[in-house]
Amino acid sequence: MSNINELKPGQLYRHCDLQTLKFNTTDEVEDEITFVGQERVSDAINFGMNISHPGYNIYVIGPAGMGKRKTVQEFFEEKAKSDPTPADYIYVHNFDQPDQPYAIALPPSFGTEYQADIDNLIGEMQTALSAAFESEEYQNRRQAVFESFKDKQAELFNELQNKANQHKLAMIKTPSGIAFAPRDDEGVLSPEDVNKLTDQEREDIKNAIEQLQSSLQKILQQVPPWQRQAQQDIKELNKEMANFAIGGLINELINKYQPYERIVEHIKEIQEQIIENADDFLPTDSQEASSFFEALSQHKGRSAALMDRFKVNVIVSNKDNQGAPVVFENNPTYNNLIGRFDHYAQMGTLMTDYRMIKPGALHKANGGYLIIDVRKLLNQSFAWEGLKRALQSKHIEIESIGQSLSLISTVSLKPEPIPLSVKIALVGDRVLFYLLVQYDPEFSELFKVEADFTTEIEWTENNQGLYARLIASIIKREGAMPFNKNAVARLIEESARQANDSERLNTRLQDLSELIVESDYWAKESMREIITDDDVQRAIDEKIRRGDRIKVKMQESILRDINVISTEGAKVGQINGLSVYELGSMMFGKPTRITAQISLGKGQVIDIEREVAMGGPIHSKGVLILSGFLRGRFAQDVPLSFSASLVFEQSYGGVDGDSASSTELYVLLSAISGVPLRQDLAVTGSINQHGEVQAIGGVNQKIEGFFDICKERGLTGNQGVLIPSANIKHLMLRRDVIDAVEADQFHIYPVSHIDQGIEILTGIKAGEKDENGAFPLDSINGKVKQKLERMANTLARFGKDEKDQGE
Amino acid sequence: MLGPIIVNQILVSLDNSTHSVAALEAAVELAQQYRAALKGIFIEDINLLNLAEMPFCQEVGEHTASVREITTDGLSRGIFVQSRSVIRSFRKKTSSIGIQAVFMVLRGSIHRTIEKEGQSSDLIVIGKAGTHPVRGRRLGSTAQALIKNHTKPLLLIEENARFGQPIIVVHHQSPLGTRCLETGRDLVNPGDTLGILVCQDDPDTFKQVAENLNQWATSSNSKISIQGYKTETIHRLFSMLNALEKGLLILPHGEDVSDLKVLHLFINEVSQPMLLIRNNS
Repeated sequence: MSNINELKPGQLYRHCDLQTLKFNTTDEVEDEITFVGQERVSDAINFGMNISHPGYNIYVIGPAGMGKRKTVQEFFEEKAKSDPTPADYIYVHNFDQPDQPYAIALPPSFGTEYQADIDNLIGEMQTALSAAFESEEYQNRRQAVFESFKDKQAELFNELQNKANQHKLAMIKTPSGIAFAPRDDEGVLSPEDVNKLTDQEREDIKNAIEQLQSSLQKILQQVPPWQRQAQQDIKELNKEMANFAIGGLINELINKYQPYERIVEHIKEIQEQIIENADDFLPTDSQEASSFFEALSQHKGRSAALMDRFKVNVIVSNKDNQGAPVVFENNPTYNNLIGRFDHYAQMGTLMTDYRMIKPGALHKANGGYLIIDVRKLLNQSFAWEGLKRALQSKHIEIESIGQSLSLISTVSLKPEPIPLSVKIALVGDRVLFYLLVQYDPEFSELFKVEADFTTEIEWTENNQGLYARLIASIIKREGAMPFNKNAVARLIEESARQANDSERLNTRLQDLSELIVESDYWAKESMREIITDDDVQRAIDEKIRRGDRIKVKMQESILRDINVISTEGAKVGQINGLSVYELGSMMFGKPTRITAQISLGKGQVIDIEREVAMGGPIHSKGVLILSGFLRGRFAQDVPLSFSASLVFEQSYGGVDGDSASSTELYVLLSAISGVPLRQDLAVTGSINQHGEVQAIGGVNQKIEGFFDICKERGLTGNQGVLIPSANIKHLMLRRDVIDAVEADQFHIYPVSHIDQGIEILTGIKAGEKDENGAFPLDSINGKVKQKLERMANTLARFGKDEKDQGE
Repeated sequence: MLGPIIVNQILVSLDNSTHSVAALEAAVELAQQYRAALKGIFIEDINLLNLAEMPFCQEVGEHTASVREITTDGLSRGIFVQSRSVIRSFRKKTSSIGIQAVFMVLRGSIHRTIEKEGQSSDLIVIGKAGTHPVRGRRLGSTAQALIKNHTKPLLLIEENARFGQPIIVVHHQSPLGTRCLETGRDLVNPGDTLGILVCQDDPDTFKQVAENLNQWATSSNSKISIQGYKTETIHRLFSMLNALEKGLLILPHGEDVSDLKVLHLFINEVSQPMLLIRNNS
């Protein structure tokens, strides 16, 4: 039997030293922290935040659940406090080009103030205009203009009527004009009466009518210029009244906003518009309207529409902000980032105007910081391109996607672009980062700072203290009950288990948060007010139980001998390998039977998995490595004259990784030497061509996978697992496994060379070469060597016989 | 004592003037209020049709000032177009409001035809003026003739005026005055106040009339508001009345000369719709 020492229980798990935790419950821990051990990230974010050159935006790299967004947000928020509060932005109507509204910057809080001032101005102007146009002065002057026009008209018509009366003629309105006809006291003469008149009388009437018609023509020709003049007079009067009514209000506002040139321009524009369109503000029952109903509807529409155009659309207000804004855009669609303009339906047409412009995240974060999840960003059509365009042009230019692609044809806007100054942090995983670097040449120009989150930190005493503070912070943030010292220690140990390393702690905050929340739940179920390590253990166990259905089914299959695994006895060319499965959040190990068969051949090792395309490239590499080892050790003086086949029995889902390469070598050595291997042991570990056993992943799960089967069948006291020595530091085994080892019911053997492993598996010395280069005959290596020589001779004889027979 | 007017059938005479539009609106509202049948008429002016048969008659285009021959065909077509437009307006206003409405196109002298048709109606509604070129603020010739001769209640309405609440009665102490009051009470919306204008030239008479009106209001369970006016400052009252967005003024059309003078002042100066009621209405 080998003299290799199996591992002691103390080597199978690293306990958190309670003495180093300086509190009884987490309530006593006051300083809150957001993360631990991310100095590289801190430095990168600080650098990215503070460098003002363009393109120094930040890409925060790390797997999901690291707390990347929260971390960067806290950095930004801290920095934003001391940054200046950025300007407000408003959009106002462009009276010359209504489709190109003006964007005006104002000091913080002035945007809403100006909006309120304009709203007040509109209200006051309406009152003032109303009062002005309803005033006696205005009514009288207006009436005078109309009366003058009507009187002029009426005077001429009356004169004409009198002339007509003198000639006993009636003036009659026809459907399209005016006519004269002879009449008497009873009314217009009938044609019969006219025919009774003498020729002379008729001639006189005809002449009189011709004269009157000529006069009427002159009158009618004079009417349009009078009408135009009257309208012009009214317009001038309206302007004068409007100017007087609103002049004071306008000047007051101009004085208030004197330092802001564009605002003053806007106010003056309002004044001009009011004066130019004073007619629209006349009382609705104006006398000159041709149709009462038409006048009513059109009138209201025009004045209301004009007043609406004076209104201010505050697109960015920093009224309530102290310092720079920090915005996280959770739904980074094109519109949510760049902004949009809505439409409203009017008479079956979609309309829009500057008041329908809505801000995007870039507007809200302008002058500050914006955080975006890169996966969500890339999932949205045009959003990434839109963001890049804004960053490159340093302006936010709102453009409808539908319009830019000519998908829709509606009344549209081209608002004046707003200057952009923002620091952006994209939060995402490593794959997307590399893809963007590789496939988007603009990405590296715009996101020059990488903040790379590490997924684990070293488990030192200092880091353990920080980790405990982090746990306390998360507990407070999640509103969980306080954890006692043991519970915190158990969380730290579980963190190491999640890192699959007894010298490292997992920094995926999501895992930690979930465990805290679930422990809190189970503590409450147990009516406890302080969470203990039992609650944490319960949370861990329950989580495993919720997700281990597949694992249980697989174990069941082994225990029912459907999937055949031996846990007792010894057999030639057969060994228990260990594989690990990762299904969702669940990771577990499972023993797999590996067998080998040999025959005469040319030194080939056939990997059946590879032959049927069920083996991955790393697995194939492992098989080739072990072939190399065999050639190196046994084929220096005789050729390898065998063919061997290796297979993972009852494997239907494909195999990859080289963690079974040592196992395959053991089974191959057994098959060649004819020495049986212990079936109560399972083996994991990769090898190199020198036969050294190297570290593998998932060592804890693999050990537990085999342990579970043995335990279910009843521990014999001989069962155990061979693991690479390099994996000792990764051991964070389950309590029941450690207990079994402590009770000498289960054994874990660290192996650093294939010779150590074969000795444990066979109970026979591996054997070392003597000074002649020969292995002892009773050693495994000796037996292998003898067998290989025999096979070489047989093959040589076989070749010679064949040759002789041929001759 | 005379009771309120009873309205089962309303006659509205329409042409294509803007006054006519207001008249139709008012007639429809009244028909709904009284649940009365509405009869609309368009009269083809016989004087106009006769023009075409006179050898020397021509027309001058109102907007072109050009002289054109008048033909029977041209006139008929023009009148037909006008009547079609009027019929369309009438149908549009009356089609979906659940009143019994008929429309007729008649031919004859306009005011005589209205008087004749009015005999079978309880209320006549007309615009204050028609389409005559010499308009100004003058009453149209048809309105003048009807005011002179009407026996049935006559509602006069001018362009841009809106029929509706408040109802205001110009009252004087007489059975006709009471008829107007009762009519006003029928037309005022439930819960609304009936406005009553009373001449205040003689304070004692005014006081007495006001007392009587209050008694009448109590007995008839009506809400009233009495406003005095003086003849010498009656224009101030007219300004106030003209400032109302809509309403109805009910005026007694008596035989007394001084009352007639006041009536004509109201007709000429007030732009609100006004209902003239005679003793024999």
